[in-house]
Amino acid sequence: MDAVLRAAAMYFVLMVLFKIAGRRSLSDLTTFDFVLLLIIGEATQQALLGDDFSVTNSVLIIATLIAIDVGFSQAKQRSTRLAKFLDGGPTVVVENGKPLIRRMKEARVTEADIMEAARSGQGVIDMRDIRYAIIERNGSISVIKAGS
Amino acid sequence: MSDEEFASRTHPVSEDMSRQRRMWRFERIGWVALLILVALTLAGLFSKGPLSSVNVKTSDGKLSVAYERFSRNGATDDLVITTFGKADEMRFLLLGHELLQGVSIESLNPQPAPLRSDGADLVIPMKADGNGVATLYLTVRSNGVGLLRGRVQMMGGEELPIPKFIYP
Repeated sequence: MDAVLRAAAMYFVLMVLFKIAGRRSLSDLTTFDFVLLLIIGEATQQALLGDDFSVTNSVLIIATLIAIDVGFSQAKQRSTRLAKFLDGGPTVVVENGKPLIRRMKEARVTEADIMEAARSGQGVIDMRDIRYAIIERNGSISVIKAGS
Repeated sequence: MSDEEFASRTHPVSEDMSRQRRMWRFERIGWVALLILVALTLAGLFSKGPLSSVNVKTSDGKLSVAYERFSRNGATDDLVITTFGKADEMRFLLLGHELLQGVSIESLNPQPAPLRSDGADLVIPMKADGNGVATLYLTVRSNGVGLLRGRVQMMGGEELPIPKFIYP
């Protein structure tokens, strides 16, 4: 019984914590972000397993985690409201070459982040050449060139 | 300007800015909550810190216990019980079963004579030194969850409550 409770508790705790972290912070992983994720995984592991290192326990925990995850994705398919609640929606941060500063501040995205996405994705080097820049649900920044 | 900036776009993607702003507010509040959590942890609300490590005494001063008020399931912590009385006497300390339901004793030192039980409680013999002091060092591992209304008592003496809260 406690395997299921542990897995469910950790699933929801991590979900809330990663919501607080925001959608941007863990996309576009830097090396340090990656190490941080590994440490988070390490810290989670003990809480998930407790002092029971049996194969049964780990199978039960993995099964519970996947069951919850699949359950959520099915529920999201049925309810767009839930999907929006869990995944959020895309947000426009540059419109016709003009950065929407206050939106960017709220989303903790800088002009440098947008220009980086513009250069690497579209080969655009000037803000005025960006028609739209959009923060996607997974935190990546999509850039659409002017004139396209 | 700001209203226009925060108005929901329908092109190129359909936005729900009121929801998005709620999300952003949640992130800000959550961040403050995390800071508060870290501060409380430093203060010892979750074991080991000024709020948690206490030293309690009976009013006659004959029994004192240093322990952690807050513990976490699966973690060990120390309990130091000091008793005062006549020199070189043998005394018996009663450890209430309420505490033992949520913690298991990993080590108990020194142990001058065999332990026994009294009902569900544990009776621990203690041999006082030449100054009449006897100290008992216990290492306990928390395996329960919730509030334990622990108590210790010298046989025939005053009862000392040692409540302990164990986090899951």
